Amino acid sequence: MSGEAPIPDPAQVLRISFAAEPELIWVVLHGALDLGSLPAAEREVETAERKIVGDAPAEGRRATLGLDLSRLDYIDSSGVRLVLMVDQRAGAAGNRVAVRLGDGAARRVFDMLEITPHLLLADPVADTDPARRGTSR
Amino acid sequence: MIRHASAEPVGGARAGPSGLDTPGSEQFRHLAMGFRGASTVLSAATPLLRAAVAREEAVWVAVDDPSRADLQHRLGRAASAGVVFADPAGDYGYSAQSTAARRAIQLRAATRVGGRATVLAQHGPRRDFGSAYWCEVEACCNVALTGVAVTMICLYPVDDGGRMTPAAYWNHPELLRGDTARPNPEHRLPEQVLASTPTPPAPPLGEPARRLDFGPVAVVALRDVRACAEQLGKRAELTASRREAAAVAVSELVSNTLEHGTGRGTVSWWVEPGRMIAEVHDAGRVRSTTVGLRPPTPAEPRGRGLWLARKLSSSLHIWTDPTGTHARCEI
Repeated sequence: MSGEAPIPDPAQVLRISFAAEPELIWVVLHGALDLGSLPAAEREVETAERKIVGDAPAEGRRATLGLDLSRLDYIDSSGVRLVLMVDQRAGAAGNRVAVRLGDGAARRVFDMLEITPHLLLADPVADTDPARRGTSR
Repeated sequence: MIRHASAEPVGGARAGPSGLDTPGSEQFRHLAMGFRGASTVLSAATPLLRAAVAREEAVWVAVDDPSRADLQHRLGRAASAGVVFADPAGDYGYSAQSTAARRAIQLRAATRVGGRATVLAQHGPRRDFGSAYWCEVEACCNVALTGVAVTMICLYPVDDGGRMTPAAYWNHPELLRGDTARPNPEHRLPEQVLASTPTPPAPPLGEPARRLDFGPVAVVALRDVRACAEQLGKRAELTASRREAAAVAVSELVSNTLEHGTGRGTVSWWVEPGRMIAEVHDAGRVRSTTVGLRPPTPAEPRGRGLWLARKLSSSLHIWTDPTGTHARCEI
């Protein structure tokens, strides 16, 4: 099958949007996060990491990056790796990462891998939450 | 309680001042116990099991029917109620590594909230699996259960000379006689055991329903794998959750080839009602067929792909041959 169809743009597989709250940027991932779309996700997350570090929070407050995985309809261990690496970098820099898993694919994979208890979870989230009204890039 | 014959605990198990092992230690202990007559070994095992029940451990016993009845009588009704009796002939497939993986997944779940488990398993001759299979199961258990708070006591018949099968000595760091554990000088590391008993191939399946060649462009390869899993999963009448499990499991195998292997390979698919099998083949050689038998620590970002594939599959068998590496998973 491979080679018969044109190579898809990773952006068609994974779409990324951002939503800002005071001292918090949400990176919202839509679609499929796998080994193929991981580099694009890493680039966007690193951009958001630089942004939260640049927007220095008030003294004594830790900057928070939010990763919203609840819109993903597919995620595998590549996505888990992304979250854990971002979390490690944030911890080393004195910042933190909040994660929304939702109740779909991301929740199932993180639960199965027994990672969920180690995350700073931001679930559940009402649909009226401003972080869910980001603009797709 | 199991007493240690030596002053130093075996295999890293912590010992209290009295020389007894410490319940709650997150240490896998794997002991072999030889027996000639079932009643002899059951009289030795009874106090160990009763003590484990009293400590509120998860206690699983897999012995033959006569031994089970004998053990239940010895334990009494109250203690027997705390024991899960399993079929010693049950839940074994052709894949020794998958058998070990299933055991480890069950035991991790049983001990997740700080508990400990004790398992008593009787080994006997089986027509469908040879001694190499059981040897591989034991070696893979030593890999898969590292760091899991389990005491696994394996009962092996002895020959006229009082010896168990060689695999019993290779795979158990401790030998149990009565209630006393002794270090086993014949114990080998699992890598040494598995090097001497190479993993056999999975049984032949005939012509696959579909073959999917994949190349190094991950976004294409993984999109195609997901599409195949969905389409063929529907043909196999799998539920949506099992189709998703198939997509993730096979994607992990393909991702492994893309990241750590030759970067290209083939997925062959077989379908029958209620069941789907996918086999990923590449020309590389996997460093160990026991990859993914245990998870990395929570702080380690990498290394979860094959662990996840094993958890999602009813069986995941990895082997090498002169053509490369094969990983066959069944959903």
